[in-house]
Amino acid sequence: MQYCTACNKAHATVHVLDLQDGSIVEQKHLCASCAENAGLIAQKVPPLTLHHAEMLDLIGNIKLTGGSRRTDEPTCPACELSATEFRSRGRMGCARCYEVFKPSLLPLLERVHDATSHRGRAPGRAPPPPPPGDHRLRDLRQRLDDAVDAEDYEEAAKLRDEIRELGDAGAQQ
Amino acid sequence: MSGDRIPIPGDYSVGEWLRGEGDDADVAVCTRVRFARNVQDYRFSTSMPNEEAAKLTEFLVAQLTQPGLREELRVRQVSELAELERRELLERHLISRELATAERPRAVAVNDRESVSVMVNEEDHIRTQVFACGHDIPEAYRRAEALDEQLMERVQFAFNEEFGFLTACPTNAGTGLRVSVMLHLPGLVWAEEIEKATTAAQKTNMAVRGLYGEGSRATGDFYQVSNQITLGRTEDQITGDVSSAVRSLVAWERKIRGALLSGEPRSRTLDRIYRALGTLERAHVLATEEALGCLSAVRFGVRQGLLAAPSIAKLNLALLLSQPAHLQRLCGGPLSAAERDERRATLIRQLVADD
Repeated sequence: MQYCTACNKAHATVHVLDLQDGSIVEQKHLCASCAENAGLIAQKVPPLTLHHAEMLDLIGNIKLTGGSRRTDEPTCPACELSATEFRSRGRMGCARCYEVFKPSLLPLLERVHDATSHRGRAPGRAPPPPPPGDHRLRDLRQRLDDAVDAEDYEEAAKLRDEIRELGDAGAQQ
Repeated sequence: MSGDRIPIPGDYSVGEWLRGEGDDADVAVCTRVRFARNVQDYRFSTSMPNEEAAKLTEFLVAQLTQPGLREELRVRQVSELAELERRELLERHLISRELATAERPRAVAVNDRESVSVMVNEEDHIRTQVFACGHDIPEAYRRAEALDEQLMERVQFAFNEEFGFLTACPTNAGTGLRVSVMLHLPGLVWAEEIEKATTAAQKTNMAVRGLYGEGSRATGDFYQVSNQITLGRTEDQITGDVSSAVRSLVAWERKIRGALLSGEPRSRTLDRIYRALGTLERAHVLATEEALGCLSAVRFGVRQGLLAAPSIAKLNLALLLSQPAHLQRLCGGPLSAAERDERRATLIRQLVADD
């Protein structure tokens, strides 16, 4: 082990060779502290920007994805995104996910925005977009089932009509 | 080949973000306001099968080109663009990395001045962005909101009372609003106060990013400051928050520039600026990083009235055309890294000498 050629006190860990035409013309062997002072190595490790809670989330993810997939975990009926997928991607699959994953969403919103509810503009009324296809039908059927289970027959009738309309449109296409 | 002049069209436009004018233009390069929106009943872009994405893109493009919209937009299907064209749009800040690289059907609609860009099927179905040069949040916000209002008359967006506008990533939910101002901070970087300044901004819930957004490095001493919070604060509060963070960073930067140009530090600062000018005037090989560093130093000198030339317009042109995709498009096709460094040096020598 070589000693630092600058301070002669610590072991040299940084070796600087000056080359000219392929041969060494000067050599320096420095310890980490002298190399830092000479500006040869970075002085500081960049600050860790992850919040403690985000770290815990990451660890949570590793635990979740490492083990076998839970069969009882919530899954969005509209886009089929599972809670595990939401946690690993950090992205919602559709608007409905905001309701389905609400329990894990609220603490996340609190952490990122320091708030959990909207204060700001709201949209006006616009004509509905063209139906996206099967997915919308599936979603409506799910909502119909939910409405029937909840004995909300007025809502169920409305949904049934919407399904018929979509079905007709689909058949015409 | 080495040293051949590179033809630059006389009317070449750098776009709104690099016009080099506006309030606080000595420090603030440009302001951007964007709204993230999703169409009701559709899955978010990242969860959508391609067939559905194609249908949605077609529907949204029709809304964006239907007469009566306050902004006249020209649509480009991003999947039909060549790789270099996509990267060029990215370098012009008209599309995001996500839109440039995603594989689903997607589009971008841009106006002539490049002050408005609407991305379709980005992470969110719609990302409306408006740029204004310098520090001008009110102007960028006014135009972005007006366009957003018009789109809301045409399209039903996913919204609920509790969480506001629903976005693919919950970090954008609520207002879906991101206000960002790009700052040129060579003073804070040279005086090694930049870390302190970015930490102070982060404490007021601002995000500080590099020239090309999330994950990009602060090359050329450019930093983007934007709101982290989009939910639970009104649009007015958010624009106010960013504005006040920007005002204090601008004041800090000016104070530091003054200090760097007086007393003992002055000669070192001048040396650094003139050496950078010398490099731009004489170098025959320039990598992006070195070019941007030198352009930054010279910009500092020009803004402080130390150098009469090159003009800010020329520096902005050099900054944009130095980017890899712009440089290759200008030179007519793909170049190796070594060829790019040579062409970049030639281009910059040419621009600096022409002034």
